[in-house]
Amino acid sequence: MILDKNFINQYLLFTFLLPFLATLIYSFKDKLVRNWEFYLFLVLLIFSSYFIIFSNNLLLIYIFFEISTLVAWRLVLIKRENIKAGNYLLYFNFAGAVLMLIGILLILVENGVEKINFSAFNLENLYNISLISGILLSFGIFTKSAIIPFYSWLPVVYEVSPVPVIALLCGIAENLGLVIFYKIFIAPLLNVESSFYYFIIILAIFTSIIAGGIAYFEKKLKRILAYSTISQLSLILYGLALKNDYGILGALVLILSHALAKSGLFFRMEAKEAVGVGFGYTLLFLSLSLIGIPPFLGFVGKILIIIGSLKINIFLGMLTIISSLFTLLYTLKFYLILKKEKGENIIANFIVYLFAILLLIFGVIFLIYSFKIL
Amino acid sequence: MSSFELLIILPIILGFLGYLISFLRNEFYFLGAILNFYYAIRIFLISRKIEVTRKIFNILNFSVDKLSGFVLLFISLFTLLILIYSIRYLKYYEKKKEYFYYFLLIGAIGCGTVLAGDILTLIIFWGILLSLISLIFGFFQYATKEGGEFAFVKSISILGFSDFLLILGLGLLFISYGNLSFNLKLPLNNTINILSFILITIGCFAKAGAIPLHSWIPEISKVAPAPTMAFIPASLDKLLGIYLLLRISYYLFDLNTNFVLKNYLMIIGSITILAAVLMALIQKEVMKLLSYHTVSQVGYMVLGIGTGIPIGIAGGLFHMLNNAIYKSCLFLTAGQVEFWTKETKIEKLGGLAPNMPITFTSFLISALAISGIPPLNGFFSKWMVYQGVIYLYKEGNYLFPLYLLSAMLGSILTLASFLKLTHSIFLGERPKEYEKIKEVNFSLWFPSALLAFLSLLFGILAIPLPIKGLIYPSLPFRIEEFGFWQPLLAFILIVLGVIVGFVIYLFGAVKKVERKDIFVGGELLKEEERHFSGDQFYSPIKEAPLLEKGYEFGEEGSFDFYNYLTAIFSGFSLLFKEVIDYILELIYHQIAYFSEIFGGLLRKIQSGILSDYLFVIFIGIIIILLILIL
Repeated sequence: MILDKNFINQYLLFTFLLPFLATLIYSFKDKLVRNWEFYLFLVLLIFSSYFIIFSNNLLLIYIFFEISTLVAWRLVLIKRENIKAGNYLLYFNFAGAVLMLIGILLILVENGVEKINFSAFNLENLYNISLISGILLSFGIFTKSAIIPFYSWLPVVYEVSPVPVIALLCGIAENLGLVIFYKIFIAPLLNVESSFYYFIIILAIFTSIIAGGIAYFEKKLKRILAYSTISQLSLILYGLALKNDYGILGALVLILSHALAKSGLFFRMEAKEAVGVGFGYTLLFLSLSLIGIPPFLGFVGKILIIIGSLKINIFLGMLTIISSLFTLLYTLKFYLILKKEKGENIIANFIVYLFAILLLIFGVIFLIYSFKIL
Repeated sequence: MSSFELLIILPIILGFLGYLISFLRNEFYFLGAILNFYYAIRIFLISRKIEVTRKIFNILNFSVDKLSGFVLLFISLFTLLILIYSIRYLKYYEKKKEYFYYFLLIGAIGCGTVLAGDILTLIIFWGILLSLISLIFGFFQYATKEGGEFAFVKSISILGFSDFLLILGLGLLFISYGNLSFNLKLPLNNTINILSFILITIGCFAKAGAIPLHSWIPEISKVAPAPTMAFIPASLDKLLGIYLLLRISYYLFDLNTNFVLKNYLMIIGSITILAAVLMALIQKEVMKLLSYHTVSQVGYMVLGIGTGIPIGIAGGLFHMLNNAIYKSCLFLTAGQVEFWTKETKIEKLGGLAPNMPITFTSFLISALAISGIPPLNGFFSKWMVYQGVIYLYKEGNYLFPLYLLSAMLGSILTLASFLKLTHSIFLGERPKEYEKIKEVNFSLWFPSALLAFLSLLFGILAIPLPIKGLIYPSLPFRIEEFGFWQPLLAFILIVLGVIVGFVIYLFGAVKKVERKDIFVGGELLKEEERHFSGDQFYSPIKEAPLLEKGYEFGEEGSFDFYNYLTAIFSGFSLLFKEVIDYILELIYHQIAYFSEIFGGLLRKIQSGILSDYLFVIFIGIIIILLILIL
C-alpha cells in the first residue's frame, strides 16, 4: 500500500470521530438519549473502535469487536420497546462471533502455534491463512457489516431505532467489521489463498447490487436507507477485497464519505428543515455524495473503486456500475417520498449543514490528493 | 495564473461575492460573466495560432485546440447573454441569488469541460456539471409548479445513468491505455475500443438529448423557466454533447475505420429527427413544443457527424452552432411572451405581433432559421449535412436515401410546426385581456434580438464568417464542397424579389382587401368569438391511420427511456426482494423456529424433579457403558 500505516490508522479514527461528535452534540437536545447509559455506551463504542484500529493483536481485536457488538445491542435497546429488534442484532452478531472465534483458533493451528498465550495472537506471528479459516473469520465481519447472507438484522434494527443510534451504527459500529478486514487481510503481507479474495469480491458485489435493488423496491424512507447502508458497506468491502491501490484507497475514502452522508441523511430526516432552497441544498449534497457525483467525496471513492475493479475485469467494472445505478435510482426516490415540513430541530439542522459542507470540502481535497499519490 | 484558471475561477469567486453582497449583486454576476467571456475570447485567439496544454494541481489537465476554442467562445457568449436576460426575467422570483450563482458556475464549469485535456479531467468536469444542473433543476422544484419533483428525478436519473456509462467507457480506456489525451485516432477495431466508444456516445446522447435518451427535456420544460431551458438543454448541453461526440469520433477514435458504428450514429440521428418532430407537431404547450424541436435538431448533428464525410461533419458542427443560436433565441422569445401573459398554452395566446414587434421579429427569424428557409443559417448547415449524406453512395452505403428522406421530411415538418406556433402566438385574433401588453424592456429583448441577428448574419455571410472563420479551421480534414450555394447572392435575389413585389403592389392592379362581417348559421359572429387557436392545426395527422397508434404509444410514454430504465430496475428489485430477501427471512425464521423447539425440549428435561434427573443419569451411564464395551 502506498500510504503510511499510521496515517491510515489516524484517518480511520478521524472518520469515526465525526459521527461520534455529531451524536454527542445532538444528544444534548434529545430527551430520549440524554441519560448516563447512552453516554457510557457512546464512550465505550469509541474506545473499542480506537483499540480495534490501533491494536495489532487478534485476541484484543476480537474482544473489542464483541464489546462493540454488545454496545450496539444496548444502544438499540435505549428505547425499551425495541427489545425484539435488539435481540435480532444480538443473535446474528453472536452467531457470527462464534464462527469468527473458531476461525481465529483455526488460524493459530494452521500457523503451528504450540503454546497459546497473548502474544501468539499477534498479527506479526501469523504467516498464512487458509480458505476455510479465512471464510470463518470473515463471517464475523459479514454479520457486523451486513453482507449476504447475514444482513437480515439490519433493516429491522434501523426501522425502529432512534436517529442518533442509527447514526452511530452506520457511522461507526458497522464500519468496524471493514476495519478488521483491512487489518487482517489487506494491510499485512499475509499469505492468503487468492480464491478467498475472489469469494469475497463476488459476495460483496452481489450484496451491493441486491441490497441496492431491494432499497429501490422499499417504500419507507428508513428502510430504503437501511438497505442502502448494506449496499454501500458491501461496496467498501468489495473495494478492499480488490487488493489493488485504487480499490483500497477508494474503499478507505468511501468509509468516510458513507459515514458522513448516511448519518447526515438520517439527521436530515430528523431535522425537517424549511421548504425551499435550503431543503434542496443539504439533501442534494448528501444525495449526490451518496450517488457518487463530483465534486463530492463519494465520487472519489466510487471512481477509484470503479477503476480498481476495471483493472481486474471488465465485468466487475460493469457490476460496479450497475450497483451505482441502483444507488442513483433509490437516492433520487427520496425526493418523491420526503414530505415538505417546517422544521424546528436546530441542532440536527446544524449537523446536516456541517456534514454537507464537509463532504464538499473533503471531496475537493481528496480528489486532488488521491490521484496525486497514485 | 494563466487564462485557463482565471476563466474558470473568476466567475466562481465573483459569483460567490455576489451571493454574499446584496447591494452589488447583479453587478458582480455581470462582471463574472463578462470576465469569463473576455478570457474565453483570449483563449480562442490563442487557440487559432497554437495548441496549448496546461496542468493544474497535478491532476487537472487542460488543453485547447481550434475546435475546443471555438466551442468555448460560444459557451461563454451564451452564458453572458442568458444571464443578462434572466437577471431581469427572474426579478420577482424568490431566492434568485442562488439561481444566478449556479448559472455562472455552470457557465464556468462548462468551459472547463470543453477544455478538458485528458480522461480524468473530463470525467470530473462532466460530473460537476451534472451536480450543478441538478442544483439548478432542484432549485425550481419546490418553488414553482406541480410535478417539479418528478421532472427533477427523471432528468437527473437519465443524466446520471448516462454519466455512469460514460465513466465506464472512459474508465475502460484509462485502464487499457493510461490517462490519454484526446488526439490519438485509435482505430475502432477491437472490443475495448468499440465498447468504450458506444458507452461514451450514450453519455453524449443523453446530454445532447438524442432519442432514446431525450425524454428529460420535454419533462423539465414543464417546470423550468425560459432562461433555464434556453441555457441548459438548448445551448450548453447541445454544445457539450455534440462537441464530445465529435471529439471522440474523429480525434480520440477514428470513426472511419468502422462501418457499422457509422451507421449506428446515422440511424440514431435519422430516427431522432423524425420521431421528435412528429411529437412536436401535436404539442399544445409552447415550451414543450420547443423542447421536442430541441431534440429533433440533434438528429441533424448526429447524422452529419456519423456520415464520416468531411462536408457532412462540418455540417453537423455548424448545425450545432446554429441550433444553439436559434433555439435559445426561440426559448427566450417564448419566455418574453410568458413574462407578460403568464401563459404557455397555445390556445390561450394569439395576435401579439403588433404589441411586441421586436420579440415577434426575433422569433420569426429564428423560426425560419430552424425550419431551414434560405438564406438563414439553418438552411446552410442542413444543406451541408444533406451533401454529406448524398456523398455516402460513393462509399457504397446504400442506406443513404433513407437518411436523406428522414432529414428532408424532418425539415418540412419543422416548418409546419413553426407555422402553427407563429400563427398561434403572434398572429390570428388577439384575446381581449392581452390588449394592453407592451414590448418587454431592453435587457429582455436585447439577448434574443442579438441571437436572431446572429442567425441572420451567419446565414447571409455564411461562407466568409462562420464557415471559413470557425468551422473549417476547427476540423482536421480537408473539406471538399461539391454543391453550389451562394447565400449572399440568394439573399440579394430574395430582397430584389420582395422589392419588385412591393412595387407591383403599389402600382399594380392588386386591390385592397374588402372587409365584411362573418355570419355563421345566419347569425353574426361576434369579434370575441373569432379567436381561432392553432392547437388544432395538425389534428388530422394525429388521426392518420399509421401514425395514430404511434401517437397513442408516444403519449402513454412507450418511447420514454426513463420508463424502461425504471421498469427494468424495478423488475430486478422485485426479484431481489421477493426471492432472495424472502428466502433468507424464511431460513432464519426456520432456524429460530427449530431452535425454539429444541430449547423447549431442553426446558422440559430441566423439570426440577429429582427422579427425572436420575433417569437421565441412568441412561447416560448405560450409553457410556455401551461405548466402553463396544
